[in-house]
Amino acid sequence: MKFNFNSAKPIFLQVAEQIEDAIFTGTFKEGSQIPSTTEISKNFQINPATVLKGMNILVDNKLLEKRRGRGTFVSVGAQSKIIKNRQENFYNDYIVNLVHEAKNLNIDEIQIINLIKRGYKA
Amino acid sequence: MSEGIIIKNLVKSFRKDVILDNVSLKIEPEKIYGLLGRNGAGKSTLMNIIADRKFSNSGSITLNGSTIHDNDENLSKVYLTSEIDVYPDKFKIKDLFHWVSDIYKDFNNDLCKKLSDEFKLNLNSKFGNLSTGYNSIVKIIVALCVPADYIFLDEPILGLDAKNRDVFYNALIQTYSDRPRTFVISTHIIEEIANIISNVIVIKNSKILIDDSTENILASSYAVTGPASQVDEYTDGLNIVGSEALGKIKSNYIFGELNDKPIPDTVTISNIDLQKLFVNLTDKE
Amino acid sequence: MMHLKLKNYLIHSYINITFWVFFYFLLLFWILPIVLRIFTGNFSFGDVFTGISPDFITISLGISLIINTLFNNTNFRFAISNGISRKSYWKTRTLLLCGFVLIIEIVSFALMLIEKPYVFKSGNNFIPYNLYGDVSLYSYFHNPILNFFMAFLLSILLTLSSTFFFMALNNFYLMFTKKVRRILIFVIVALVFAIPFMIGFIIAYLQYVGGNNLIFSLGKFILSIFGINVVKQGLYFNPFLFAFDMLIVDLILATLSYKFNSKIQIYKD
Repeated sequence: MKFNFNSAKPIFLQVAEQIEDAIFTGTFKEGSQIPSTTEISKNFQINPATVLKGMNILVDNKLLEKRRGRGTFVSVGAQSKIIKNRQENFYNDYIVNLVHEAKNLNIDEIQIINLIKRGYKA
Repeated sequence: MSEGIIIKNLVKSFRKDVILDNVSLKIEPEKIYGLLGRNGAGKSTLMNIIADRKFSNSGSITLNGSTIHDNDENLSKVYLTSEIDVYPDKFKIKDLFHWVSDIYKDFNNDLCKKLSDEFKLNLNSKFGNLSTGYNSIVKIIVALCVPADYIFLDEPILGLDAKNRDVFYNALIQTYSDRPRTFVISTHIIEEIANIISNVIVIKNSKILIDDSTENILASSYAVTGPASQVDEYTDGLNIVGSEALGKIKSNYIFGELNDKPIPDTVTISNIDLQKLFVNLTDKE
Repeated sequence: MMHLKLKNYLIHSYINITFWVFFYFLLLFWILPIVLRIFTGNFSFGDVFTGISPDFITISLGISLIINTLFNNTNFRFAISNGISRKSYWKTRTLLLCGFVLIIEIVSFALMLIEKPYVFKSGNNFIPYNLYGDVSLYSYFHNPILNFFMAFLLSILLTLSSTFFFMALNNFYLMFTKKVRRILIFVIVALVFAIPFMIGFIIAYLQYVGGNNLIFSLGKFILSIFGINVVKQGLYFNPFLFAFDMLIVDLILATLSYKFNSKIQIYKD
């Protein structure tokens, strides 16, 4: 996990995103326990309440679950939930900017499609 | 739930100097505060008055609705550690811990032992013979082990090397996780605790300049960077707290809201960290 | 009853001081003369026993009491920094010091009883009739036991008054910052030397003017407040009045020490 303390993004949001990324990449496997808020806060010297706030976002989104006395675990199906979510947001997250930048550089639609084909072959 | 410490219209002056000018503040339970300000701004005085070590000229300070002054119950909930030594020089550290734990029935003896080991503190040394660093360490250990709910630390890292500062931050985070309570820390090395504190209080010219969460503060601080003339034009009318220039490129630091003006392509708006913000905020007199 | 959280710490502190005072006292007035005698060749084994005296105990206790009342800064700071209010601290401290005074008085009177050889001589009276000789000051009652206990009570009240006086003085001193304290020390030391001088001067003047009725009557009146009545030959003493007055003095001084205590702030060294 890595944080950018100079970013406009509040730290609790970064915590949420970093944990979500780790679930997405499989670093935190489904059903396994993730580091406690205390561990994460000590590691990066962040306020525990901030870390908790970030974690709770994922708990609310059913990606994490708290088991009393045992810790916080990755929910079963969390990874697929994230993938589905990101697939839905793919257009807004990537395509819009891509097209905007391409237009700035006078790259037309056919050229973009060719570039994409090239990307898949690599 | 407890109400916190409520400070109303606190005034403290000494001869002709006004040290605290009508300060009103609320210190909430279970939060970690950073208390920032230049040397001599009044931070120590404020903490000393809250902890009933010094008296104000006027104003009130209450905890859970009742006054702190001369009130045993409230005083046992508030703890202050500062550069003033309050232990006899001849005391061995282990005796010191013994007597403090004798007074505070719920003193955390286990944590005390653990931290003494982590800091490599020699329990047989005499308090008066300690170096500045270990003097601070002893005070930190006591502060983290007393069963108080509002712990004030006045420049706790004086004389601590980088490794011991790390030990302190980790110990602070751990004990805060185990038993959430309020910590108010005054320090000049802001960047190290910038992410540990959840709230910030800034004292400038004897008044409270800022009293807000770090989240809100960081969300309202910006660096507007670009060619000098365009930056100045864009930031005209905004709350500019400082600026830096490198050749023709200038950065204006804004604290507060931005405006609706369109941002020129050559100008970028980014965020600034707490350290930079406070250096600039507390700079001008 | 109040918390008395600081009780153990203060008791430890007072006993610690007492121990060291006693230790240095023994060293200075018992061991050292013996060592000197050994060096000058005048030593005889009996010196070991004759050199020591029960007075050592009473005097050490007395000095320890003075130190504990006059040197209060560290204990005060320790208490205030560990969540104890000024009020509680004063109560605990005063209670303990009064207990200390009581112990001193009991010890000194007990030692006095043990010392007087004619305790065991007189048949029925196990308390010496002449405990204070013929000074009519303490022979108010015909019953020697009553005299004894009256003397004991008065001694306690007197010692308490000096204790409270020192406490008030010390607390007054601590109310001020370092700079002002230095000036205060100077003033107090000057007064300590000046007052006996002034009193001596006044007495000499009174003796000189002798028959001046106004001053003499004034003096008689002041003394009578304390129960000391001047008669043609010697003084006639009313201990009840004296005790009552001392009680008032004690209460006033104790109140002053409380008020000053509540105004002490913690300054840098």
